[in-house]
Amino acid sequence: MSRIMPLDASTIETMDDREIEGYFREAHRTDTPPPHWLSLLALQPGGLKAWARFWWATFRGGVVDHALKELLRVHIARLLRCEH
Amino acid sequence: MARQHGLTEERIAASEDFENQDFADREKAALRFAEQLTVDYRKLNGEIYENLGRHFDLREIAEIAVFSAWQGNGLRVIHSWKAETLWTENRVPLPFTDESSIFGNPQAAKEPFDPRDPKRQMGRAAPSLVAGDAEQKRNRQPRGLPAQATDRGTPPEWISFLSHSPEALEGWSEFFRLVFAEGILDVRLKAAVGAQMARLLGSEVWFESFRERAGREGLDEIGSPRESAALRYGECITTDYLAVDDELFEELRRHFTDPELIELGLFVGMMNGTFRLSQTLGIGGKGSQVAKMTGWRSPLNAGA
Repeated sequence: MSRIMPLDASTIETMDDREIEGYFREAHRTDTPPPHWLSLLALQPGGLKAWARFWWATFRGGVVDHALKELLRVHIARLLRCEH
Repeated sequence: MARQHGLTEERIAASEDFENQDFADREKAALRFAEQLTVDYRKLNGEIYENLGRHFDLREIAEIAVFSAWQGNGLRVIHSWKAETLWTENRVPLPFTDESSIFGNPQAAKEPFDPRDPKRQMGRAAPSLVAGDAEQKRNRQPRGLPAQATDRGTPPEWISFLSHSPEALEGWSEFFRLVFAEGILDVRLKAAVGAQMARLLGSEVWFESFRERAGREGLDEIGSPRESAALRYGECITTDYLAVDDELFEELRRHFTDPELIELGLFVGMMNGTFRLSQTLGIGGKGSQVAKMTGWRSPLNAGA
């Protein structure tokens, strides 16, 4: 069980923050990042925006082929899972 | 989810043994770099960077490097929260699951979202920068962030490296501003945690940067149980993230709210990645150790 529980869905929706809503809708559309990760970060909205702006700039944006970055993402995740 | 990004299950499985599988040299170079940065950054030598440089330009290298640095260290933080169970068990209701439109525009909900697009923020659909063609992306310029980041004590060499990629520079600088400079936690506390992590990873330039900031904010007063818990958490994530056990987390919860723990974790994860990457680039007063060993020329100075 997660040591920190996400902010509940209704609270996030009533934030009335279009930027945050946009991150969630895009996460639902593509499954990346996991929407639950965003719900967790929503506990600190400034932290959510900080992370999401970084992520959207470097993972979704940029000039490197997106499929290659996805390959790196999956490979790194697997490397760390192998440690435990 | 990876399939939606152009990867097949076969390629995902094959990447585990990518050196012996049918991957392009370009893909192998990037995988080799990301793997070494994640597993042991101290062994990320000039040969790996040289190989990366044969297939990618500096802008692409900065983008791959900063993305990989977060990915490797952010996952350590996620594990310390045991947050993976949230999306594997999928029991917690999520917001915005309805099919309604985004920003009042039904079509926009079907298009890639870009937080940098001001027109999209205003509730009108607009062509996304993310969806733009390669030339449009290549022509993007950073928006006056280097001076701001440097003013906050960021080593100029780090900004110089990031400046090769507008996306890496903007993304990292925005993260640093919101999480370190403007977050809900005391800057002094975060600076002390940052200084300790930099010391553990051997990054003198980052250690001095954060120590100076912590001193300005009153470092001498560090030592309360709350501050000790934060320092211990930062140390565990840096040296052995699996050591963040229930006892340590209970201690953290005695002193920090959930929003504060989120911010602390984000800061610790990003700075760990930043320090490790900085070390491989030779950022600091002693020059590039990698360059000394191999004759490799750091991308920090390329094009200067």
